[in-house]
Amino acid sequence: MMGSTLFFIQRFSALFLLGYSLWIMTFVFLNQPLEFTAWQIFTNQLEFLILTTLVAFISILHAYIGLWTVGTDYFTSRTLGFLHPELAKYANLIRGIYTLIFCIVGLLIIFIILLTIWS
Amino acid sequence: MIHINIYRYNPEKDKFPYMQTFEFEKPKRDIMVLELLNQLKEKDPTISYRRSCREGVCGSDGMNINGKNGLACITPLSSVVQKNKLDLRPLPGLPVVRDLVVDMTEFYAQYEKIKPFLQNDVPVDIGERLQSPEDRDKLDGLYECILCACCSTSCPSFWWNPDKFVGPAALLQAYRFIADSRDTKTAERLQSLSDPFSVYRCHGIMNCVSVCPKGLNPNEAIGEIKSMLLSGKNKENIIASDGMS
Repeated sequence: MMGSTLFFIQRFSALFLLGYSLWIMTFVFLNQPLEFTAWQIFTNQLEFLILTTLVAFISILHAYIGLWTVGTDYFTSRTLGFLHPELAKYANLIRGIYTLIFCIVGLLIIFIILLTIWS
Repeated sequence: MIHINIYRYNPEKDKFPYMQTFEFEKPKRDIMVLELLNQLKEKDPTISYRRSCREGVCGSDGMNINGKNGLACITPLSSVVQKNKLDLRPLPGLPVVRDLVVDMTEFYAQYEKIKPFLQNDVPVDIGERLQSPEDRDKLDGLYECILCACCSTSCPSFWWNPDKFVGPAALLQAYRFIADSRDTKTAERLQSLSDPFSVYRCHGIMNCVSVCPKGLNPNEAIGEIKSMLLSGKNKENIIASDGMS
């Protein structure tokens, strides 16, 4: 993938997450003291459900790019070789496991969010 | 007395690198770090370091001086000695050949990658390629780089991926040719930098700017390259749209 594409995905997803956070905070701020019924009505509206679903996917995408960057910085044969020469041989395997763990955790987070808001 | 700690490593003799301390009498007049090394070398001829012009032009004696990269020949002792202590280490991130001498192969490989020479398909008809004074001004702050590697070796992104991230020194030179009105390969140059590593691994921490002994700003040049990549505009587009307005 092109560097510019990743750059735009990260920036636009960050803006989307910022907008969503501000929207939630504004609601909380304008509805003081916040009562359960008001919060329930707010979280049951279709806009909330759709936007929160989008946030789940977008935040995982945003985090994936960030963590991929971290992984390709610190889990390489060169960087791991600084710790121990033997580790350098397993750099791809270690990075693969790191990516796999993150993907599993990410999918689990999405599943929990979707299950919580749509059930 | 000043305590000078020098990184020592001779791969033929030493299993591991170590720091050796030398006692050096405080000079009456301020001297450069290179002069200090020259005087220490008279006492211990095994100390190895590169030097040539001793006036900040050749870029040979780049090293890590009290934790900050710089050229030994233009760094006054008084500006770096703290509590009568001075640590001298090789440039970080590159393999050490011996003591303060590093293997610059990876650094030069990145420099070679950006094709640091003028490319122009249009035949020359008057013997030289002319440039307006305004276009020539755009190269100021770019062409002065002496390739000492102080910037690239202070950059964590270059430490982790010296084979993929081009590094501030080579990117400054890449922009030097991108910005040159006589060069016609801007699109190709940008295309070669468009992957996620070559330019985009720069996160703008500005270590390069902080250490450059020539006072250059590689971070700004990298920003310009990123802007051109992100806007999809290259020099030809900009010149064409300027001409239309």
